[in-house]
Amino acid sequence: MRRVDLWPIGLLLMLVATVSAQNKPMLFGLDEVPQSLMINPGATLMQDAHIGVPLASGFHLNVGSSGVSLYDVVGKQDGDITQNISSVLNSLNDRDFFTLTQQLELLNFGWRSGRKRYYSGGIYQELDMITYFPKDWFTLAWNGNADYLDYPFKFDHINARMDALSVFHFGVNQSIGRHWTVGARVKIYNSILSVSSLNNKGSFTTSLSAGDSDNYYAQKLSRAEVSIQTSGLSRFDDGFTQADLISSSLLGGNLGLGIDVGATYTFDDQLKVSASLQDLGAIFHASDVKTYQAVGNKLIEGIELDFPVLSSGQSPPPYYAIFENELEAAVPIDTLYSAYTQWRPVKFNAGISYGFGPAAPGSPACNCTKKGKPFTLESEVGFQYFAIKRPKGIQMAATVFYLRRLYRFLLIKSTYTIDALSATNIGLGVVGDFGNFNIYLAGDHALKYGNLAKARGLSVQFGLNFKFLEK
Amino acid sequence: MTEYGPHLYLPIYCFMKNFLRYILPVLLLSLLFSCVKDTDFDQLQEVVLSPNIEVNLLFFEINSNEFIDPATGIARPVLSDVTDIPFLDDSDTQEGILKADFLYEFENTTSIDYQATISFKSGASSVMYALDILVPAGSIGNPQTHVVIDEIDVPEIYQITQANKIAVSIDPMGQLPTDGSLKMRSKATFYFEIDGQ
Repeated sequence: MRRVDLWPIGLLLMLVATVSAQNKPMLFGLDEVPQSLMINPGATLMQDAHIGVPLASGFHLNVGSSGVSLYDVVGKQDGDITQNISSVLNSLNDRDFFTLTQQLELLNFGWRSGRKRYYSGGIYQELDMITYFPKDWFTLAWNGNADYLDYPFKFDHINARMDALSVFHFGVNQSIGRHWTVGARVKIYNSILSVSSLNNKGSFTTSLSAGDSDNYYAQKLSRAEVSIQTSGLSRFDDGFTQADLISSSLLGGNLGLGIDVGATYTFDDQLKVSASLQDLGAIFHASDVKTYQAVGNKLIEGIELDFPVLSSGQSPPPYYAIFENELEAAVPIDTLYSAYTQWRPVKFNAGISYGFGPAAPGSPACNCTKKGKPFTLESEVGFQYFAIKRPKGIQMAATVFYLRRLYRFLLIKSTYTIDALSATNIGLGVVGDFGNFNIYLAGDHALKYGNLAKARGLSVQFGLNFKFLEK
Repeated sequence: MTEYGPHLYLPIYCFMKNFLRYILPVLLLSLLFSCVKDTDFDQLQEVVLSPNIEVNLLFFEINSNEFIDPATGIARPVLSDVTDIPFLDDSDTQEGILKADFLYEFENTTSIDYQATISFKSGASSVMYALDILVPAGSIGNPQTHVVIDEIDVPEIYQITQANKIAVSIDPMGQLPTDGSLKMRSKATFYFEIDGQ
């Protein structure tokens, strides 16, 4: 038997968990954490200045898969592993996906200017990947084409995108009157590496030929259009050192521009609604750009023998080379160097929250002082909605939450999130304020922490900041 | 811009260095792996892929007049031709293939039988495997279709996967025909078994 490394299959299947990799239901509306401004620039704020611990002010990791869990693939189950994986493959379709998102803030700071305005800025690094399950091509590799005569293996099942970038941002948050807080953030994207294969078209089909055909099978590449766009790839040609990472994170990549906008409407001490849009923008890939593209139609025939009359010493025609050349001529693989623009995956968040109970520990007794810790109630409940535009459509998540300010220095927020993949996602977050030091830690899929192998997703966030309040 | 001495950012640097080096990996590892239970990654080595691949192989049509050399007018006793097939003796194929079925479909509209020989060769002269087929006579009005399926299993498959050429020779049996043609088309089914070890 031929032996090959099957780890890529394992890896792909392992990255199977939740849907909305960039959803941060914990941080949205969580005014005690400065990073809530990153999700909603129009958030209501609790501090007069903040500075994050460099490289530790905000970390976010999310892996997920819409169709299977690690346990489904390599769980200690009865039966044959090949059979188990086969049934997993059969249960997935080309809209199932695997995601990985990681963000790390290098710097985050903000300060109040006057009574109503708050400026904030910083730099963060982001890695964002989404791969849809290439069902048809997995099927072809797994089973071959013998049992799939007349079935078109579709190239649009190949759909993946990976971006590594650093983001420089600066935002302003402004209170207007008694009810409104609005905000906007300008972002400069510095793309370190971008690889994507999107909008592929066409198919490959094997059918029995008509009786009078020269060939037994009609193997057709129909209107194939397959491309891989890359930018920043040559940086990795001669190995990629830490120094390269630092320099490419700061400058030298392909640049882009985007904005975040958001607003909060506070009805009274109890009720508020808020919404935001993140990453309305694009990256303009112009330097170190390579697009590999194959376009064409081809009926792939067998090798035709001509039985020519050969004199002694003469060789027969190079049939196989001719066959290969014809294929390459019909479906040429070109390398293009033209610039391209890619939209960032835009995100939408909205929420409504209702506070109740007595004043929170450490809060003033009424909403009547202009300085010091703002007035807050002990408990909050609410509903949040999240949507992100992904290559094959919009992915959504809905969350209900309960927040409790337990002590002056501690609050907890619990969330229950439903998305396309999981209806049992309970998240837990803790925020601690120790003097000026603010720490938050949050995780999703808490029910699965007993055995993450059975989770379809995992999300963690934490950060360390210093917050300052005018006394 | 003010240059700050190393004393100012040394504590931050030390903290970050330790954070990145020890704390972060431990946090991530504990989250990612400590709670992963009831899994057995070694199973992946037992995964067996068994794709069956269908491909066209060779085809040709020999008209009756091709048995005469047009330059000399002399009859050609045997017609033969050969093509490279670089995919059979490829190490991936050699290691992964379990068996192969070859299907040869002839259509004879000439008045004579033919002895067709399909040879799998390594290089110009070493025949690794050969199959002789007698193609019965037909006529233009009544084409004779002759189908041969050659199922090649262990151990012959090891001979086939040493080959990098297929040669076909057509030997007319009897008086050369004056009209009609001999056609052939063929396909192969390769049965692979690929494991994860």
